[in-house]
Amino acid sequence: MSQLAATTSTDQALVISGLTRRFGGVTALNGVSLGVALGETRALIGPNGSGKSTLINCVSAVDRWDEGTVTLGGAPIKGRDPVGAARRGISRTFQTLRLFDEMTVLENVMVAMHHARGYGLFSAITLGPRFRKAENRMRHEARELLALTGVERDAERQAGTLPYGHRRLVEIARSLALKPTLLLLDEPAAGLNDTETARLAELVRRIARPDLSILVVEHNMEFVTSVASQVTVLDNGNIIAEGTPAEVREHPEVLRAYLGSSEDDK
Amino acid sequence: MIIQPLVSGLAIGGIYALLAVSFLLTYRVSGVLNFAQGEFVMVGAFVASTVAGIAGIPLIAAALLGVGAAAFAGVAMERVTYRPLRNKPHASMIISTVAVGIVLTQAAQLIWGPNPRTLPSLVPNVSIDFLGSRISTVSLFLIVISAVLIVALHLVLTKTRLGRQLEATSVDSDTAQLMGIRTGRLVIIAFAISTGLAGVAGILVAPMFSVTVGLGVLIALKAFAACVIGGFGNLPGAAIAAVGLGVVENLAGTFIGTDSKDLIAFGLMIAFLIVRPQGIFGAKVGEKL
Amino acid sequence: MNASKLAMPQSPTLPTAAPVRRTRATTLVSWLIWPALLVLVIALAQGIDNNYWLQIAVNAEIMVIAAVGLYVTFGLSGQVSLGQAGFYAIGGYTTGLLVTTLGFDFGLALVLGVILSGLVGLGLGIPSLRLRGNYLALATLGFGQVVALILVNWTWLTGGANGIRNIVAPIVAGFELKTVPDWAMFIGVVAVLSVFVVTRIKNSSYGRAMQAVRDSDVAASSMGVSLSQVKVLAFVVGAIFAGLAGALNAGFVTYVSPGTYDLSLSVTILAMIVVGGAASPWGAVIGAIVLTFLPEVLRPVQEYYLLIYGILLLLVVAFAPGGIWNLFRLVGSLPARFRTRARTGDQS
Repeated sequence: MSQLAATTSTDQALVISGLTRRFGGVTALNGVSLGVALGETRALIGPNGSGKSTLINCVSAVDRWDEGTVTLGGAPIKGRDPVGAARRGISRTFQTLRLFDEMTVLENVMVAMHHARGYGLFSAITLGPRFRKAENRMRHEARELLALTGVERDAERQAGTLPYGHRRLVEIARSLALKPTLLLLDEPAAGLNDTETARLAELVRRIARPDLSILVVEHNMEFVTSVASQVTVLDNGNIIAEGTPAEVREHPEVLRAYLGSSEDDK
Repeated sequence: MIIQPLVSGLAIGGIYALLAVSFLLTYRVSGVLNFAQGEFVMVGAFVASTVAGIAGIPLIAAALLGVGAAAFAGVAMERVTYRPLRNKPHASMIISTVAVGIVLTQAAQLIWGPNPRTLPSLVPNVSIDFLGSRISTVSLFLIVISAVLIVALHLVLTKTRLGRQLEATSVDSDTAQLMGIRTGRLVIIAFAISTGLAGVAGILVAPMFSVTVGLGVLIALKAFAACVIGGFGNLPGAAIAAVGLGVVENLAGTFIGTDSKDLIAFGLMIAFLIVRPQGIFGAKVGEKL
Repeated sequence: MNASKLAMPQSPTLPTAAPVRRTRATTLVSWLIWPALLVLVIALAQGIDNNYWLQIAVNAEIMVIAAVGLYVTFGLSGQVSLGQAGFYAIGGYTTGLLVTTLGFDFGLALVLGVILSGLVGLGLGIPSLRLRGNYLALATLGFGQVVALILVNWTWLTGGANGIRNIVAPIVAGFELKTVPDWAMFIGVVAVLSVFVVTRIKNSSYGRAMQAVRDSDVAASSMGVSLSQVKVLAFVVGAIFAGLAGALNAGFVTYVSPGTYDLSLSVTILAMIVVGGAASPWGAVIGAIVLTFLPEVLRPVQEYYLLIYGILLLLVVAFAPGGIWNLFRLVGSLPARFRTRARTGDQS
């Protein structure tokens, strides 16, 4: 009951209302409204092409939208302004991994701290005290995040040379380095085996905090059940169901729309 | 009074246009911005002038051989630039084409030496009276041939099966391949047509200037500028801009002075990049860029 | 935090003593290299008694400055510039004009020349932001042509084909560089400082942001890195160092004339980074030195030099994309790799 109250109250961190995105004649999102409360982990599921990635791209402001609003903590997010969204505390991972391949893992994580670096170019060139202090702090925090995600041993390796599963974890560490209030995970378990997926679920539960909202897009229903308290189901750009994982699983619309196609995924 | 510079402008503009469309053809199909395009102008002209110097060979055969040599060199270029680098960052490809330009220039320098050569025009140079101005048949020939070739290329690209396959490759090479189009072969064809056309441009301009290793450099730079002004990815647009550029340059040269003539092209190019990077006719700067 | 429980990688955490010690050793080396380089350039300036070779060495140092600047633009942030000669010319001509017509001290003229290069870089960089990859190469190519044409045609300003001669002035307040060794020392120190500054940029958050933009602009902007600021900064740094190199060159050879500042200079500066290796400022340093000395070494086969240079460039891009620096690193890492292989072999 308390959870229901939380999701309907006004202290929602992320509020999406009436979000519509068209690509030419195709409507990828059709007036989608959705909220994620502070401290909540919500899963977004749906068949391929249902608009999940489009939604993530809109919320992270990588993309723009045609109608509707996205607000975080009550203030609106502007479309096609990913830097603005990031600085407001929206962080994300990518379905198709986008690490900075030529850089080390540690440097990858530190990139997300660039906007909060706290020193200028002059200090960097002259090795000023601000620079040294800030760099030490950033390095330390980045190592902690790598330890949290379990890839600290890769810290000095070039990101592009890591095995696939590790790269997924580095992306999560990097997204956390932004100190987000909203974390968007775009199919984090894609391409992972069962053991790795189970460990990832454990990690997602660990990073959940009262002041962090997590929206995770995922196909794997077992993973979703183990990390999310609430699930939203998207089909053809419309929300067709919402509720706890158990409720959603029984929903007739969901069975028709989602389960049919999840067979194809396997 | 205005007729003569206008015709000269149209003639040189036609050459710019020929080079601009040839440049865009490879760019569209393979994504390669060929900074060596100008060197193929020189290759065509040098080969034609050498062959024409051999007694008994008709000029038209020499010209065709020149075009063939440029096309052949283009195919060779595809092998050393596009083939090994197609999945590498575009910077590698740019540098690679610049390197091909250096190699071609230096090879030509070694083969043909520093002294300029001549290549007679395919049509006799006669001045004819037109509305009270004297204009040269060579200029008219240039205008006609480049117009015919550009229209022909446009028709091939829009009306034939080859054209549709090239278009498919340029839009989405992977999908085209899945549809059974042999994209690798099409890229070679695009290079051959493109550098062959550059060779034609060389044979057409050679009678106006003389044949030196630097023959194509400025022409190619002007053609690049025309592509930016007209809009990338829009062949007719780039051709129109190129002709316009030739005319504007020549009129400016006649009425303002030759000092700033060459500045016009690059000044306009930078102005367009700043104010309207999609060019006059382009819709938007494509993602491919 | 009990992170180890969660650790996904299979192997248990090994003691990390060895890597830490190696890092400390490399840190020490990376600090000792600067005084060592200063000693080296001063020793070269005093030690090479053949004026001809000393001049080549100074040319190499000037190219190091230009190349290491372009390393920031191209190597770090991935922007191809084919117009560095334009900035080089702006630095050289501004310095020359201020010294010869307004009687400025060389040092002040140099600073103003560098500032102007940077401002022009800013003016060109801001609109060019909207242009991706190939388009920027074209824009910078056009810019280089405009500058080259202005140098020839605007005789009232640039002296036309004659250029500007007799650029001789004290550096600052009567302190003068008279001999080639004087200049070699001065330019050598500036070159070392330039490499130092670029290394600092690379190892700062700015350098990381530039590399991030190069590797994935979408991910970089989603991590709060402003593409426009980072790209413009990288472009302006390249322009500033090219301008500095041009200004130093003008003072060293005492004249500027348009022939120097054409497209082939821009291509050469870019080639220095490609041949030397775009992954490190040391690659740019190596490339600048190699490509400045190469024509001298190939003097017996002079007429083939540019052909060899073109073929070399073509081969490096296709088959050794990391350049000379990467070859060094591969050779240097062989023993370590061998050790690692031996150790893992022991364990399994």
